[in-house]
Amino acid sequence: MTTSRPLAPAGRPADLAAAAVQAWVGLYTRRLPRAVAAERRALIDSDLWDEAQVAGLIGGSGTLARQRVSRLVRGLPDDLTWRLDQGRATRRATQGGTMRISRVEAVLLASIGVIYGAFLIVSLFWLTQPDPDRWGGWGPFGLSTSLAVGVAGLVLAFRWPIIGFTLAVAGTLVAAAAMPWAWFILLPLPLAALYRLGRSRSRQAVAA
Amino acid sequence: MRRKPGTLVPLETAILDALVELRRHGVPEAHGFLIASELRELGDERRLTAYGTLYKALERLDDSGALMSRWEEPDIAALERRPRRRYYRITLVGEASLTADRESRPLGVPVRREAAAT
Repeated sequence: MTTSRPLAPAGRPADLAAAAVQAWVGLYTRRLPRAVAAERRALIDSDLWDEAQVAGLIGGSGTLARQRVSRLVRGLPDDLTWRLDQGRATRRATQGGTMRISRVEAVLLASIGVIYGAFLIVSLFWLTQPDPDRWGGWGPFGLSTSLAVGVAGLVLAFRWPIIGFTLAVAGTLVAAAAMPWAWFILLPLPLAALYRLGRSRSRQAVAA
Repeated sequence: MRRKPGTLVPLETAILDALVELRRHGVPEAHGFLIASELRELGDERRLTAYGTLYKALERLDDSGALMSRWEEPDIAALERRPRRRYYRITLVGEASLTADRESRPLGVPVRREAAAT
């Protein structure tokens, strides 16, 4: 039940029609969880096989080919709506409430949050100093704002990992631009966390 | 198009009818192609139900509890050198939905004709 298997030969036009059906199924099940895609392919493969067996008794390859193409074309709208439904269900399962971050990821998030928080306090202190010229331009203000965004993103990441991490990374990039001499502290941690989250998310999507 | 939960569209009614008919003839469960063939026969149609339409409706009925489905044992398919089939059988919920659908439908409205148009 993993991939479309070659079917029993039913004559060239019918085989081509079967290949077209299988190719279409392969296309609209792309990027769905493996189990869902494999199940749909197995259903269609089984149908094509049984169809060929019956057609072998009552008609030629041309008749079977026409029948297959007709069933394929008439079913396109339902295939597409099924695909949309499945895509929505997968997204809900991976982005919504069912997505959980692991304990390691939670510790990682909290650690980054503490570091960012500390930097934020320092940068706010810096902003309030009477002579901020020591580090001029938009630097202190940009750093404070972007760190605040980063901290907010990290907090959100506990509930909505994708949105939260996107915000955290955006905040980090701006913070690194505002404070280039500290990029080596700011960048690696969220990128490592993002990598880890992406990996576990793809595992969850495949397992779903 | 949204519809009331528990109500059946004509194709779903026709599928449940086909499964009842097959059971009456000693076939307690049927795979997709057999259901499509039965639909064609009962609906007095020339065309088989489209792949996408058929399996989407079967999945909906399965999810709603009107049908029960299972994949056949891999050994059987391997022995007969063909892909595995998924078998569907009507449940008590499905029979109740079918009865309710018949009662709500005005007399003389043929369900199968409507369903076969898809």
